[in-house]
Amino acid sequence: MFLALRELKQAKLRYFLVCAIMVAILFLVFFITGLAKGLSHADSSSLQSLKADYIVTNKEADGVLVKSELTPKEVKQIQKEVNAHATPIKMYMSSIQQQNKNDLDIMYFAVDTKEYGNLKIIEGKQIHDLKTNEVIVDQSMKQQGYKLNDTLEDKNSKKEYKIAGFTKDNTYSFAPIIFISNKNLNKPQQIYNAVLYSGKKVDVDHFATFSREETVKAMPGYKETQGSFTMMKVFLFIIAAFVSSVFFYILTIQKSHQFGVLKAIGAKSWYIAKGILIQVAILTVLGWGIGTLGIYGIKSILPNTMPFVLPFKLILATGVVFLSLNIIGSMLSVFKVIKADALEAIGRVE
Amino acid sequence: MPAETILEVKNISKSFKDGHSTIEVLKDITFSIQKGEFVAILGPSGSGKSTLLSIIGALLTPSQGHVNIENDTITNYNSKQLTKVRAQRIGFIFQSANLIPYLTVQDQLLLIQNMAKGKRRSSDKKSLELLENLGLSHHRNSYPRSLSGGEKQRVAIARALMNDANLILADEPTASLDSEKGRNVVEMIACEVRNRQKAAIMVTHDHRMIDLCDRVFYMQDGTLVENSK
Repeated sequence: MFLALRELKQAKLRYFLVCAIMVAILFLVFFITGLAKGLSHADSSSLQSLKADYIVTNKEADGVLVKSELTPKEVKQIQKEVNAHATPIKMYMSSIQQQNKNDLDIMYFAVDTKEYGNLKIIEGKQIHDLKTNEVIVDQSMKQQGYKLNDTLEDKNSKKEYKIAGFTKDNTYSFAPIIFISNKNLNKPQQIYNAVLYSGKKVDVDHFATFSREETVKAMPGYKETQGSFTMMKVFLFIIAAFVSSVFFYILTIQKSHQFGVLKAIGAKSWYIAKGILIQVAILTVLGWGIGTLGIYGIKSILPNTMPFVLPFKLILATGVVFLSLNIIGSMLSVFKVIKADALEAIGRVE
Repeated sequence: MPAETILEVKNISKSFKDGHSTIEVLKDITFSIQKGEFVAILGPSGSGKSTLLSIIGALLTPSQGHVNIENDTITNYNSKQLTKVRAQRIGFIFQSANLIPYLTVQDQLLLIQNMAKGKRRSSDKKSLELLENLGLSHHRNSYPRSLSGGEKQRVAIARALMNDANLILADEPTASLDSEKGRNVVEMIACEVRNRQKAAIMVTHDHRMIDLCDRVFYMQDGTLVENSK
């Protein structure tokens, strides 16, 4: 501590520069993380919020819910087999007629409102209290100007529904979800997409069972998008760890004579190494703090419609990973310190 | 009362491997130093002075023979124990002051206490007293870069005294100074050694300083000869 702080204070510019690199990289990591999470949320939050542990679809859909089709007979068969409280769901895209504006693309989740689990309601009624012509919609529709008790007109069926409640975390492919009673479905083509249930995983013959996460990953393009973001993050982490390791390594090499002198006057290797580790930790935490302030600043001026979700937990986790990588990288310098020879101090000029 | 022996060197030899042959740098060296004595070791470069000083200073171990500091044989110590010996029982003064560039003059001294996990308050007082003694009080908060060569070497002397070691080792302390400033520095070492009753060894090739020392040894081709003054 004694050496670390005094050196930081004396060589401000040098350490400011490396800290600035860390801030820049962390800011980018935060931004990409927020964007990845935001896109994932807009894409699939409705699937992640499904009230079920497992989802049963037909075999051909490969986990893509919208591609699966189940007849009422098949639904009954699955319900019997899983031996748990199971409820079918029908998902279909449509659009809402809007005055003086483009139509709004939406996704219906038609469910048995009496059987379906509680939604995260932020305003209005819970799903069990819905009447047939009432719906619960995702809060993102508020940005389009919709309010409680507004009436929606479906463009295809021309049916009208009343907004009885707002829920959150329910979007699919950037479209808001509208929860609707399955009584609105036309009887003859009452084809469902999947059966939801909670409990143990059951493999139903002739059908396929997926966890929620699996259905999310099966969404077209989901894995590819998230995978690209993950790759960017990993590379940024590696670059940052390299920059800081090399910086401290070069400083350490430059100071190896000085470390020799310190050892000659009785400093243990650990005493010197501790100083380097403290410096790495201080600079990383400082860079993390400034990067966090920066990302919150940017977040506050981003438009609401931009998919950007960055919980503090994620920022914290990023910081921990970043710090660990930098500490691991600084082991290179620590190793060099251990090898610094006290004999260097004797019999030669600086 | 007989004088107290601080350092005893017994039959020290040191050889290095150089390719297929071995070079014997030190050959059977024996001497001892009492409390309050200031000893000079003179000799041409390559004569083995620095090697001898490194062995006494617990930086190298001899091939044969023993080094006793205050009646403890340090020859068989492991590197951890040797580090402790250097930290607690030896004060080093190097060729060029070898100060830490980002520490103020007073911090150079406090560093010694910090390494030994000493108490801050007593070391504060002690460092101030040492700086006062060596005429450095006004430079307390200066950094090494703003000091002259002589002043830097005086800080190094103060640093060597900071751990209250009984043995002071100086490796060519005047090498980077002109003769007047060099003499000044050696006078200061001599004065501190006598006042504080330390034992000190100075390795040098500067014959003009030997009148300040109590005993003078000559080193030639690995052997040490005492020269009565």
